[in-house]
Amino acid sequence: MREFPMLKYYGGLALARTPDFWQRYRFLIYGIIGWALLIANYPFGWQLPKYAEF
Amino acid sequence: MVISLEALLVLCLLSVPIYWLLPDRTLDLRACFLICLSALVIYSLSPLIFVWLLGYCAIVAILLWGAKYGLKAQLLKVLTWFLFLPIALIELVPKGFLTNLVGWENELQYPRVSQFALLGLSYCAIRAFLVVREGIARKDFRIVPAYTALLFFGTYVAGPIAGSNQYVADARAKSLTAYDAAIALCRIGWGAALFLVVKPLISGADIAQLLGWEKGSHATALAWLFIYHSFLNLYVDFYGYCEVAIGVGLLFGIRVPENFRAPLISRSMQEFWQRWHLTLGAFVSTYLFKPLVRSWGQTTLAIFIAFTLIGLWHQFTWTYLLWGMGHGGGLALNMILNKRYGDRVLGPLQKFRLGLIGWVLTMTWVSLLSAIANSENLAKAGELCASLLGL
Repeated sequence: MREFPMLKYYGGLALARTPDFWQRYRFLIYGIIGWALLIANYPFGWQLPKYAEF
Repeated sequence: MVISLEALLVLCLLSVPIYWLLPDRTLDLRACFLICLSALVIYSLSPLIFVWLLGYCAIVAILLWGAKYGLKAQLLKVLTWFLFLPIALIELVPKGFLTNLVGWENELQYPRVSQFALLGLSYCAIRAFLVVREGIARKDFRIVPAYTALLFFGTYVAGPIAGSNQYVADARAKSLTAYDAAIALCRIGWGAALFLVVKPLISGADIAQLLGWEKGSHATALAWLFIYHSFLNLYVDFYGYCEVAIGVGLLFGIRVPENFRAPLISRSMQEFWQRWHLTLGAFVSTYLFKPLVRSWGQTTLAIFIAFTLIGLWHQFTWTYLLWGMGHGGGLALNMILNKRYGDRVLGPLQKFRLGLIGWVLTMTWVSLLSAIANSENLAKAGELCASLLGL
């Protein structure tokens, strides 16, 4: 049986069936979470003057 | 990122199409465009820093010219170390002296600008060093990639440290693929969310209130929580910034090197420096640690001295000196323990236990050092240590 190293690390997670799943899609997942957080927070302001005006 | 997220997005939206429409091979116009754009952004951030950077650019040009036209490599290598001198001067020259001298009183008074702009300057010193060392190794005068490396606005403040190799025309992407653009936007979004949404959540959290503790009680426990809290803050900020820098680099076809590999799971100081600020680790290893080992033959002393110097590179202050000595000492101890007990065969449970203890000790040590480094002065750092001990 072919071994899938990611299964070893992530247990039985169906998402991690392919060995390079995380390597390939992590930025897409991060990006979706990131933009969702940014858009959800936009009405409250991104607190730009305090946190991002370098 | 040297500007707000909205401004960065608008800047990218306007400049990325122009950048890719420019001819690929003619006079490296794309890189020239990037240099002008970055210069404009840095000038709008701080004219004083811009002038300072022009000084760096001039010195780099002279040294690169010397590398190509026959100055002795050994002499040039010694001269490159003087590129770090301005960082010491910033701390040694009385505050306000420079700004008063040139009549820009307001320039350094806005604390956020001054702190990050000056931080960018110490990164610029290290980049200038790398660019000149690469020039000495190749004996050529590649000034356009050198200036792109020094000024690129994506990585200016603290982004991964690298020389000019990835800014050379051949190393940059020839066109912007949909995949790269998507990854770039994802990384910008993730990084921006970290320091615009997650960081304010973490830094704004009142731990005592969250735990329902009365004001003034549990001082020791709060001091311990404070150091972990501030380290997490630093990580989220720095990691988020680097993600944005890598994303912006991708939009311009530049492969900015990775800087983090999940450092919060490190189980030893050695592992920590293989996961945290990778580009700085590579610099320390290549230009400080290895030459020191070659000349002295003592690895533990070499790592201690190398990190003490890196502490002073961050800021020429007593608190950062302690930071450097703490990291150097931790790594030296790690090396000694590895040499003595590293070849022991352990069972899975023992391995797990040792890993857990190592993780707690490593995270505590780096958090403590980071809190000391960010203290206002030695007295404040001392007060923090006293409250950690319940004194």
